[in-house]
Order: sequence, then C-alpha cells, then structure tokens
Amino acid sequence: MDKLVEHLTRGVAQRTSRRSFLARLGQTLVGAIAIPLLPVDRVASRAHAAEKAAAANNDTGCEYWKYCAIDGFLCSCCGGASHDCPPGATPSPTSWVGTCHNPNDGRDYIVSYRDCCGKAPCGKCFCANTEGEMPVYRVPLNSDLVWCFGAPTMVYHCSTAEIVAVK
Amino acid sequence: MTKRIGLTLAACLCALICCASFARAQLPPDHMKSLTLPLASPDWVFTIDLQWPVGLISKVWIINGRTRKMLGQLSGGYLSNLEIAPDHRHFYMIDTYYSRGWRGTRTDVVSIFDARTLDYQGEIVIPPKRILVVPKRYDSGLTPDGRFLLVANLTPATSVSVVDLKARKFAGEIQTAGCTEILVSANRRFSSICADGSFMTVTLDDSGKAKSKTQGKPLFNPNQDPAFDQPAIAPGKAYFVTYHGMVLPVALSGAEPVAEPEWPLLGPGDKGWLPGGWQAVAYQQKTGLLYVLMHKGGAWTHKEPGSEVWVFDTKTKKRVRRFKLKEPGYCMRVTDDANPLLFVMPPALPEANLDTYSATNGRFLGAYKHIGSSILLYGP
Repeated sequence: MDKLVEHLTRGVAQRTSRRSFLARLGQTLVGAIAIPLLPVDRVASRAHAAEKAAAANNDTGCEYWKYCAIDGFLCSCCGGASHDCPPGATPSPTSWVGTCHNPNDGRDYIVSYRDCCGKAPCGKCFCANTEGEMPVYRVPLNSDLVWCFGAPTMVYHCSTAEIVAVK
Repeated sequence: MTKRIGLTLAACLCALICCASFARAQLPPDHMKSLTLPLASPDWVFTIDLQWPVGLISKVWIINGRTRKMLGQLSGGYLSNLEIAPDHRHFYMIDTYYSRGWRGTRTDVVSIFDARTLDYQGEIVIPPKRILVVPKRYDSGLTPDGRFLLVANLTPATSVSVVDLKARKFAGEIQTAGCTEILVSANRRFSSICADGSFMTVTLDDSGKAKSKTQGKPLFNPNQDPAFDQPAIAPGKAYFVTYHGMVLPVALSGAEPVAEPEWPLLGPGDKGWLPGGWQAVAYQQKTGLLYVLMHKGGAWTHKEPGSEVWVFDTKTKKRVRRFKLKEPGYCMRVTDDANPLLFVMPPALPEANLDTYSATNGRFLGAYKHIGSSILLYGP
C-alpha cells in the first residue's frame, strides 16, 4: 500500500509539476508575493533530485536502480543484500532477467533477478516493479513465477538483483 | 402484626412464582454441529488467499457477494489454485505440500471437497511439478463435462498433467514445449499460449491421453504488444487485452484458435489510459459486455491497479460506460444473474477487500473487508 500511495502521489506529482502549480498560483497573487516563492521552488527541486538520487542508491527501497523489474520481498531487508541471500537461504541457480538503467554511470545493465529459496517468505520490503516484465507465457521474462528451479526446495524466501553484464 | 406476617408471606410467594417462571424461561442446552451450504449460486464469489507472508497454506474464502457475508473457507497448500465442478457439487484445490512445511519431500495433489459440507473427501496425487506462481486463473482448467482436470506444469519445462475426476486418478502428462497456461475450449480440447504468441492446441481421447497436438502461426506479437495472460473467457472465445490497450478476440470454438480483428480500448481524448492489474478483464455473457480495469500510466505499468472500470460492447466495439472505483482494483469479476454484480479487489498486499458494485451502473454497493492476501477471484 505504501508503494501504491507513493506511486499515486508520484503520478499526481508528475501530472502537476510544482512549476505549473506555482504559475497558476502566481496568476492569482500579486507579483510581490510570487517572486519570493521562486527561490524556494528551486531549493525544493534540488531537494527532490537529491532524494531521487538517494533512492536510486538505497538497496533497501524499491527505487534502487537495480530493482527496476524486481518482484517480491527484498533480500536486503531480510538479512541478505542486493545480490546475496540471507543466512540459511539458498541462491536459486535460475532467474528471470531485466534491463535497468544505472543513473550513476548512465549505462544500462542486464540484471538477473535470483530468488533466495528454502525458507518461508520473508515478508519485509515488498516491491513489484515491472520494467520489461512479460506475461507468464514468456517464462524467462516473467517475475510472478517462483524462481527456485534447481534449488533444494521451491519455497520462496526473498528476491535479489545481480548484475550480469552491461547491455 | 398478623397483617405484617401476611404481607411477608405474600412477598415470599411472589418471589417463588417469579423464580419458577424464570426457571421455565431458561435457554435449552446447545447442540453443536457443522453447518452446510446450498449449492453455489451465481452471486457467490471465491477468492484465493495466498496468506502472505506465511504463504505455505493457502485459503479460499467463499462469500455471498450480494449479502457480503462469509459462507465458509477451504484450506489448501502452497500457491494453490481452485476449480469449481460444473455441477457445483465439488470444489477442487490444486495444492503443493512439503512434508516438513518449508522443507522435505514435495507432494502435489488435487484435493477434493464436498460443496455442501466443505468436507475434504480425498486427493489425487499428481507429478510434483505444477507451476508455482502467484496464482493465475489459467494455471489449471476443467473440461465443461467435469471429467478432466488439467494442471499446468513448469519446471521450467512446460507440460500439462491430466487428472481423470471420474476415476479419481492421474491420467497422464502431455508435453507442451514452450507453451503454458490452459484455456479449455471443449470437453476434450485445450490450448496453451506459446512464447511467440502462437497457441498449442491439444485434443484428448476419452482416457485423457493426447490424441492430437498442433501449433499454428503466432496470433499476436508479444515483442510489440504483449497480451495479458489472464483473458476473459466468453463462450467459444477468449478476450485478451494488450499492454498497449487493444482488445484481441481469439475464437476458440474451432479445431484451432483463430484471431479476430483487434480493436482499441482508447478513443479520442483517452490518451494516457491503459489496462492494468492482475485479473484486468471480465466478460458478461448475457450482455456481451467486456469490463476492463483502466489506469493512467505509461510504459510497463501493466500491473498498475485500475482507478476506473471501462465497459465495452463487444458487438459494437464501443465503450458504453466508465466509472471510478472507490479504491484501485487489481482483480475483477462480473456476474451474469439478475441485477448483476461487479466484484473488484485491490492488490493483495498489505490486505485485500472485496468491493461490490452494480455491474449495470457502477454504483458502489459495499465492501466485505479484510480478506487476507486474496489475489484471484472465481465464481461458479
């Protein structure tokens, strides 16, 4: 629900930019009042960009750049890391794949989404990102499946994102 | 003095009479029993609850959609599916169990329940390779005559397990290389969707063995515009919606599926709207109306819950209605009875609700709240 609210909020934010809001507000206010708002807006924009950059590098959040197509509980919130399983959970030898843009170096990377298996679902930090995600009849590109094929059990614990190569 | 004694005696007499009448009014002892249900009616709704984050024991909620009252539950296994017998006399859950809960030996079974008592009646063991996925409607299928239950397998090699419900035994496995899901189109025929947008069609003999298997040319291009993997099924036809907002009708009544001309969900002024969700599309047979969950979004927002429902006449291919939802919808089902209902569920996490609307005018009728992490809607 947090993600949904966040997404909806972002949607509203995208459709209603601060600048357009301020422009409309400015039409109803005298210039003397509107002008002092503009520096505040610049500061707010810089803050927003900084927040976005921080989110893109926080591997316990759904906006982490490698997680563009991750679907499940983040192993980095479950005692593991972005590409490591928590203790006692087994990395699946199989995975679905996605392509994510790294804003830090401007490159696109092929990312392998490998599940950690052998424990009941972790339950923390659920993300449902869908960039490049395909229906289940395109098996290698579908994230709804339990990707524990080849692991000792098909019991899903959490999800990781492993860089495979630069695209 | 004599008068006082008389009054005391009268008071005692009154007290005795009162006690006696109270004793007569006491409640009888309770006699506990298990209730039973009538056979399912069209306004009942069944949900598969994953029970995340535990997830190893699924649950089915059975709810009277009109009264919004829970009627009972079924218990199942890991990422279970449900099928309802065409005569409504049995429910089948397709389950996976590990012998020690989260570890041990895997066993896949079809569990059989009596529809009136909800008692477990028995099981049919199937190969331990059924598809383990966040449940989708076409992970399994039932032939219209109720004879064969078909279960999609994915290891990740793809095949279908055939269960003979009459004999209550596993009948065999059919390879469906590169194709998954089960769209049942006749008593002895089903199709699976293949990675390139083609369909593999299998006909069965009366013992459940494959009699023929064909795979035609692609009916759509998943690289350009993927079709959602949970179409709405009409008699002899599947209505797919696509990521980019088209409707793709596929006729299933012949020996092989045939694509009919695509038509758009979006008209002038609808730019930016797309279909999305899990069960994003539903069909009402009586009216020929197609209900679609729609949201405002861009590329790769195919799992975005719908903020509105758009209703299309499949004959004219025109939108006849649209209405806003009280909360965003992820799954949807429409009934076909008098005063039809539209059931809409928000995403399973953190918790699902069953919102009920009039399918005729979109009026919100009420919600049955807190139905766990329900992810899939079924009906009789």
